[in-house]
Amino acid sequence: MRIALFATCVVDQVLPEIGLAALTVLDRIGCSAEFPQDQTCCGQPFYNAGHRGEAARLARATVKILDAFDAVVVPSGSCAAMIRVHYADLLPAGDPSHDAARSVAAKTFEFSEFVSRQPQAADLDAACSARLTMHDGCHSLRELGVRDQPRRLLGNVEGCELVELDDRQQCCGFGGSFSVSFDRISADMGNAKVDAIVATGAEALVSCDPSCLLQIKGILDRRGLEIEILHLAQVLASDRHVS
Amino acid sequence: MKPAAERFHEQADRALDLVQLQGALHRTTSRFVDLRLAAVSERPDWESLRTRARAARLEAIAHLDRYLEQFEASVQANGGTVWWARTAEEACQHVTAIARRRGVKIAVKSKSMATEEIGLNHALEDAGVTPVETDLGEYIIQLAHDAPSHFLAPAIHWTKERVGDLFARTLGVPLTTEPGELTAIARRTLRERFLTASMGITGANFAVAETGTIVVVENEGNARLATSLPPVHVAVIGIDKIVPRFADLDPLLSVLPRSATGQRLSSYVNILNGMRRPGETDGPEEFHVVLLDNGRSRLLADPEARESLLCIRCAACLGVCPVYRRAGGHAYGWVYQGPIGAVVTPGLLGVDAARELPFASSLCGACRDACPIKIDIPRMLLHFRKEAAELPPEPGTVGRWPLRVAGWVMASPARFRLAGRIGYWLQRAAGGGQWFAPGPAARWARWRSVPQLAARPLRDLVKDR
Amino acid sequence: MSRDRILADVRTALRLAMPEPHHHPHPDWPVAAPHRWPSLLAQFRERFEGLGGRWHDAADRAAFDRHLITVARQHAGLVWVARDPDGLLDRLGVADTLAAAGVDVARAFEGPAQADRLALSITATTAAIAESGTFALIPGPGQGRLSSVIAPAHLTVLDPECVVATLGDFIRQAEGALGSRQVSAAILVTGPSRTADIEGQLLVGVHGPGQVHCLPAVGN
Repeated sequence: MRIALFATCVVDQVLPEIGLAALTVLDRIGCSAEFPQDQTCCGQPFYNAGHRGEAARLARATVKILDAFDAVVVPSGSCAAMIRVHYADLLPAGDPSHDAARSVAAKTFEFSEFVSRQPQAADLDAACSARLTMHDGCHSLRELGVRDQPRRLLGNVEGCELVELDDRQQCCGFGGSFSVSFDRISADMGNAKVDAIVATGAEALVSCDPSCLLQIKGILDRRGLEIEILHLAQVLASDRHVS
Repeated sequence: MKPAAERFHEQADRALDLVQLQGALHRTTSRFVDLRLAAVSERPDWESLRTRARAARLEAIAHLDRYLEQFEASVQANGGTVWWARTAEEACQHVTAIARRRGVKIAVKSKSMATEEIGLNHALEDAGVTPVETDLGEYIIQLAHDAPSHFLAPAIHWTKERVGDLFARTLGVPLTTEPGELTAIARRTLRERFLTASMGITGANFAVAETGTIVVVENEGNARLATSLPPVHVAVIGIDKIVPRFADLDPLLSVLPRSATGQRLSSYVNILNGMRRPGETDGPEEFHVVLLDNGRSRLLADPEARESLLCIRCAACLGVCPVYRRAGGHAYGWVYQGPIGAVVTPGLLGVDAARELPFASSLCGACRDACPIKIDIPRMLLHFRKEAAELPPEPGTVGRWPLRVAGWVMASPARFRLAGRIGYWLQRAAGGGQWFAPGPAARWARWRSVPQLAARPLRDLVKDR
Repeated sequence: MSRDRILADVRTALRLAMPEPHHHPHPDWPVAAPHRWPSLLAQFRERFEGLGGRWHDAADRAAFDRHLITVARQHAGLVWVARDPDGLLDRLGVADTLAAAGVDVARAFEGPAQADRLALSITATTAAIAESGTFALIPGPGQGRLSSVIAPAHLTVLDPECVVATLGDFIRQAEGALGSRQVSAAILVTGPSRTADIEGQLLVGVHGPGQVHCLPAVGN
């Protein structure tokens, strides 16, 4: 079985450690994945901005690369949802890439979703003695139905204590270009999320969505709060203690 | 009400500045959300109720022409009269013509978004009729010449102190800020209006094609008084309010109050078959329905946005929307606020009249979950974003070219990698970009630290593995 | 003509089909622990009282009459005993009982002059919905819609046999009456008149009654 890691543009350029951690975890559960060098972006930023031409071009390129694989793992719920849910609207019947888009959509999984389906997931000997809290990305939660999977996986991590956020399904306010075009509202939402994080007393915040992590980290830093941000893959790949 | 949906930022900023308003918005919307979830928890069949409610609405909209004709015939069989209005002006003309023929001086109104939408109060005043809003929230709004900011709780942005001032100033009553006393003042003042009005004007939550029945849901009793005491009842109803069968009222009335206010049923549900029958002791002598298009057939003609016509105006999406909860209702600039407003407003008025609204969302999807009809609001926001992006750029804005360039860069892995490298070195040279962030980055950096591009991208790092 | 133009526009619009819906996982809806009541009447009572309604239990006709008089005196003023399709209130002698006790009784709404004097209206419930504590009035000859909202207090006399379980049951029952076009309305009342329009504070009695009473019929 050939598995592709579709890392997403944010992970590639800003948070590559998440991509490395995801590859490590996939290795450990016997599902080694390749990083196709031709990948760039799923097209979501353009799609969400209404620029369907640019988005469709990127989507066509993406499905062309990914259709050669048996499964696609995406360490971002939002980008996985773009491929799985929105490609159908972006590349509708009649588009030359429509069939490939459907085929790719059917074999694309958000990271925690994919890992938790593998029998070896229970044997991941990750350890992380820290008090963690978890933020669900809205698209993971509401478009992919990813709720329990990351928590089940964290449950297998030795030493980690998960404290849930108050009002945990609230959006962190990122929303792509929303974070700059409606910056004040976006930041107010982010600050409310950070307040909830602080209230848990957690040492680190875990999410399956790198872009949410960027928003939250941006606010944590600005407020001078020393709470670490981690992708779930980083927790699962760790056999160290969070400092 | 005149649309002003192009000023979202200004209004949202004003709302964010008002600490009192933020408190009121959060308190009220949070309460709505908690009450809704408590009410939902009592119906283990909630998801199947949603499915049934949606099916009834979908059926109506899918064969709207047929059901409209059937509704018209049913109203006529009940002895009522049906007027058709393509535009707001035409709808107002129908109502003022009825008022003129009956010599109406005072018309009592219950809360109705359709009449708000067509600016009926102004038209009535011009025709020499005094329109009196009788829903407490709408009454406050009317006395203050303000605009509603929530289609369920129109005066959600008013504090009791301001209401007290307003009543003292406009009604000549002693100053009080006690909500119970304020409510009693409104009751006394409006009761006299009910007893002297010769026309009652309402909207409708549902209009049943099969029986010609209209349903008006309320909590105060004002709609019931307005449809019992005056000799003429006029209902202004959007053509989207049709439901096919009387039996459809079961799922629809089961989800509406629970989603709106968390009530198992609203205090007063008025299931009205028109004018009083022989022998009945009250109820109107005349019953008129004004069927209003005003952009709805245009919205219907857009298959990507048609789903918005399924809305039953419960306002559940407002309560859960993190943007509405901060920006307040006035930012949406028209009669329909919140996530559904961000779809309905561009749909009814054209996206050029509300080009900012579809973007006023983080696309979190909380609205779709809360919606008792399962309306996919984020998907329609994305549709209107596409429509907005296709408009000629507004003067003074950069337009499409930054995203075009970004798209061109992203379309090639080599260009994408190179851009990342250039960005990395520029950012390093600019000291991490925390003190110099160009363009949109400045608006990010206003509130947040700027993310640092990686020294080596993942595409390079994987080669070392 | 606008009618034809609107219908033509609608028909043209409907030629294009809506896109298929996306299938999203639905939220885990909260589910409250189920509760069972010994009877529909018991459920109705609990829900009605939960809304702030006052329940009056009468074991026999004498107790029924006593409750009637107590409530009427509590709301000192004119009492409107409305007529009902089945003549239940007449069979129970409600107006006579009150008149004999010295209560000022009216049998019809006589317009604005009388409105100020009204303290209480009394109706007979056509149907009641247990799940929501709702009672329904379907007016017939000699009745109307006003009796449920015009007075500051409202007492309804409930035939225990008329309680149905759900709103759906009531809608099926009302369909016959409204579908026949013989009646002009079905009027539902769920608790007192209420508003939360000033700072979200829940207040009762804004336009309709601030107090609702329910008195189950005995020996009818």
